[in-house]
This record gives sequence, C-alpha cells and structure tokens, in this order.
Amino acid sequence: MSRAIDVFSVALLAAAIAAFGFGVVALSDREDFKALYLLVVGALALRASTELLRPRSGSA
Amino acid sequence: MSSLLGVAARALRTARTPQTMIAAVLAWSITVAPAAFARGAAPASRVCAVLALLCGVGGPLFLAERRRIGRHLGITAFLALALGAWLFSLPSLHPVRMSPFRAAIGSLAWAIFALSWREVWPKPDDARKDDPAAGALPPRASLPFLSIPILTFAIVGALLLVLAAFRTREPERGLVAQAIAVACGVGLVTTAATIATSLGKDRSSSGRRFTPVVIRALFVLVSVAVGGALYILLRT
Repeated sequence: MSRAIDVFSVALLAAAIAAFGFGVVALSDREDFKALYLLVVGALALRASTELLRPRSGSA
Repeated sequence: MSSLLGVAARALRTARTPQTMIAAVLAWSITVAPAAFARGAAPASRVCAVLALLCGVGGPLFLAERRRIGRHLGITAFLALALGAWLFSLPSLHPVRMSPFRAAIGSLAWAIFALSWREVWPKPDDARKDDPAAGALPPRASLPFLSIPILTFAIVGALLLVLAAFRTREPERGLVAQAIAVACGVGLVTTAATIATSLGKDRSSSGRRFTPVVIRALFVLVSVAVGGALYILLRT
C-alpha cells in the first residue's frame, strides 16, 4: 500500500508538470481560460501529491 | 504609544533594523517610486507608494520586540502597497518603457530586501534542548530509491516551463508568462524535494493512509479537472 501511495504521488507530480507546461503554452497562445484551468489543476495536483505523503498525526 | 516609541528606539540601536530599513528603501526607490511618480501615473499610485515606504521603513522598527506587527507592516503591507502602486501606474510599467538595467538592479534590490528579512535559525533563545523522552533519530544511510530521478525530472520540467514561456510574443503577456513559469517551477521543485525525501517512509501505524484531508484534496482536484474540462469542451 505504501508503495502504491508513493507511485500515485509521483504520478500526481508528473500530472502537475504536464498541466503547468500546457498551461504556460495556452497562455502564450492567448487561451486565457484554458491556461487558468490548467494552472489551477497543476497547483491542486501538487497539493494532493504532498498531502498524500504528509505524516498523519499520531504516527511515528 | 510611548511603549511603541520605546520599542522603535530600542530597535534602532540594533544592527539589523537599519539594514532592513535600507533594503526596503532601496527596493522602493528603484522599482516603486519611478513607476508611481512617473508622468501620467494615477494619484492613487502615489498614495500607495508613500504608504508603502512608510510601512517598509516602519516595519523593521518592531522587528525585535513586536515581531508579528513588524512582519505584517514590513513585508505584508509593504508588498501589498507596492503592488497597488504598480497596478495604479500600469502605463509606466510597459515593457517598452522599462530599462533593462533598472530591471536588473531592481531584481537585485528585491533579493536584498528578502534577505534582510531572513530568520536566523536556530535563534539563541529557541535553541533546542535535549528531550530525554525522545528516541534517537539516526540519519538515513542513503537516499530513497528514485529520489534523484524524481528531483531531476522536476528540475528539467521547471526549466522547460521557463523555456515554454519564451513562446509568448506580446511583451505584456510574456512578462506574466515568465512570472507564472518561475512560480510554477519553484512549486514543482519544492514539491519534488518533499516527495523525493518522503518516499518509502512508514506514514501510518493504523494502515489508513487516505485521511480526510487527502480525500478532500483529491476530490477538489478531480472536481476542478472534470468540471473545467467539460466546460471547455461544451464552450468550443
């Protein structure tokens, strides 16, 4: 289970890189809404990836 | 009031307060004042700039004894008012009117400002004392598997973001794209470092890893991703 969480976290990081990349490209192509959407998705993916690995209260 | 004046007077006797004040004045005079006091700038821009200077100079006075007030004045209010001054004087900030030399010096001035608000850690009075109840925390012999590839991947991704921002043709949009790319890159590298050092840790003693916080974060991610994708598809 722990390994699966690690893999999922790395997958979310990869998703965030892709979302940011496409977001910046969309921004340069004057697609503002799409850019904003992708940047927000990237930020949320980054947050989720760190929340997954955050130690729970009460754990060693 | 006299107490606050006393705090300010005592702060001025320390070495750090004048340094921080000078750094704020430097950043303000190079990047905020020329925009706010340029011809054609709105009066609100000048008001914001003057208030920003007062906060930037006043904040460090409370640094030693009223730390929270000092940081809110010297960092939060100073930055917010500087931003307000720039927003009210946007024509002065047009890239065509910007001098590359002043931009470079301004970046340096803001870096000095950031360093002037550094925290010296650990502080002498906060120095950690040995806790007899705490167990030994031996350092790891080696990094977890895949740590370096993950961090390398994120750093390359961050660099590609900055390169992708150079595709932008309009100068104004290009500035925004560069700023966003740098911010995203910093976020990526920071998160990748957290992931790289956390891999393989035993994070739970009860076996339930998907805490409510994690589930909420994933739910928000999926909702925004699906909702936004549907909206874009339906709009086109």
